[in-house]
Amino acid sequence: MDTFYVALAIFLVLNVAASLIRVIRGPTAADRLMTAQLFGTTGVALLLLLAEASGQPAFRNVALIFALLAILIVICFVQTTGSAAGPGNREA
Amino acid sequence: MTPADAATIVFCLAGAVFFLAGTVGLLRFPDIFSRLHALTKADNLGLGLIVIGLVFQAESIAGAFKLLLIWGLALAAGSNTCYAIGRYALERLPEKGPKEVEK
Amino acid sequence: MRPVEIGLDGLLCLLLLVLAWKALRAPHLYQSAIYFIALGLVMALAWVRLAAPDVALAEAAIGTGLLGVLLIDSLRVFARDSKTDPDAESEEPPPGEINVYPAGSARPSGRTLPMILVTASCGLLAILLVEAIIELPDGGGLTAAAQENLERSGVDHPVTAVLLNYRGYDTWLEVGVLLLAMLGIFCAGGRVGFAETRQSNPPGHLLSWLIRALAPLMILAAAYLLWLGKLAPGGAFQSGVILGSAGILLRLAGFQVISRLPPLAVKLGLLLGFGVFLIFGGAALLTGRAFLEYPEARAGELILLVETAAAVSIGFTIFAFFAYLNSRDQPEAQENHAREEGGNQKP
Repeated sequence: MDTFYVALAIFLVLNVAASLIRVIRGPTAADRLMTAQLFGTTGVALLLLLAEASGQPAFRNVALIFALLAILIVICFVQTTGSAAGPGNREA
Repeated sequence: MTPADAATIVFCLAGAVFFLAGTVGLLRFPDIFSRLHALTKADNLGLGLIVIGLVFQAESIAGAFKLLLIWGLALAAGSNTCYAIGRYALERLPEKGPKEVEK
Repeated sequence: MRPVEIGLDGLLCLLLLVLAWKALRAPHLYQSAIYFIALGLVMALAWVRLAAPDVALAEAAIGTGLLGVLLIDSLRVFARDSKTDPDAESEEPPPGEINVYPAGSARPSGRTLPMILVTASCGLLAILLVEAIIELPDGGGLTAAAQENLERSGVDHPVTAVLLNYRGYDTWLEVGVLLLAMLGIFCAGGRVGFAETRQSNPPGHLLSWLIRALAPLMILAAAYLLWLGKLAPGGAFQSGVILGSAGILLRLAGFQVISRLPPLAVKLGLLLGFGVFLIFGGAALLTGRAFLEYPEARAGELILLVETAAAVSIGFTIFAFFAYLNSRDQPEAQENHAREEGGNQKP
């Protein structure tokens, strides 16, 4: 069973590596930000899998922190660049 | 192999398929909004199925709830961030928007 | 170790090196920031593979969440500061390759001499690290000693015992370094941004809802990690970072964070971490024990108290770092700051 988790983890790490191509290509900042969002989610899945593989449920807390903090980056990006010269917030 | 193990393998593999689909979509789709669509599948279903798979292995009810809580957090955060990115792209990059929005 | 595990570890090592290189050499600083965030993720995974959950927790909280926010936010300041043409402010940034941070954040071209110096020092550091690994004592060095005295330390987790009991001195000084850094930021003008929130871009309904829901959860998670530190990986630093992140989240949504609290509470919160250590250390000296030596019967409670104080202070400090960056380009805050400086110069 552990071998299965680790093999799956390898597959997900390869996914992360492949999606780096989108960071290189861009073309917009939003595309690169999406990649960061995918990293965050894949990271949570990877941490859960490795927690299971190592038999230490304590590692799940790392995934919990990750899930909590991953959103900060995107909110920071949207909030701070949105206040630049752009048309701003239409709803508000 | 116990039935629980089999269920774990099935669900985790299904989750991996969605992660692969999300990555391929992110790389291959032509514009921001369709890439965003691909990304949300990995966010919601990819992680969700892997979490469901791991719940079968949880050592206690509390452990299972914690796994589901992590998924719930990622779900709430992921869908909101993708909405925020989408709106940002719509406002800042209107020429890249879907055709029907432009009109 | 099985072949799959070796494969995973090798892949992580390779990815770490590639990401570090890309973070240093990407053509645009925004890309560098994204690579850096990914580097934090892979680093956290590497720590998990090395069976070091305490470090993995810290890496996940600081390396990915907090540093990512600080980098993204400082990039905005970078782009704004480098604008010399006042008309550029009103211009819509051209969509396309580099659409958000137009000027100033493109990577400056590298110079040869600094590059050689950096490469040489990295090589030296690598040699020293390899030597340290070779000379690692058998049986894990002080692990046995730390485990042996665990019962007397007041906590059940060896890492917390080392940080708060055996080597409390180090942790005290680390909290002191953070306090000094924060004082430096306040001297540079961070005090105004710390106390005032001015939001020019209120979040939409959805984001606002999410932030309202997430911030209390983050504070709860911070308390959970703090409590968990007694018996499992967790503790004051991770907890403090999450507490500070909750403040950052609220500030990004335009909520008043600091000015809602009574000023005395804010000052106390900033100083508490360093102060409680100092008070306990002094009290220990007065009662004839060594500095920061806890009485054995009460060690558990005292450590929890010290950790709580440290976590609150770390949270405030991290919030102050972000608040300083975040208020950098806001004209009102700068005006206030200029006014304050002018007032100080003319007593």
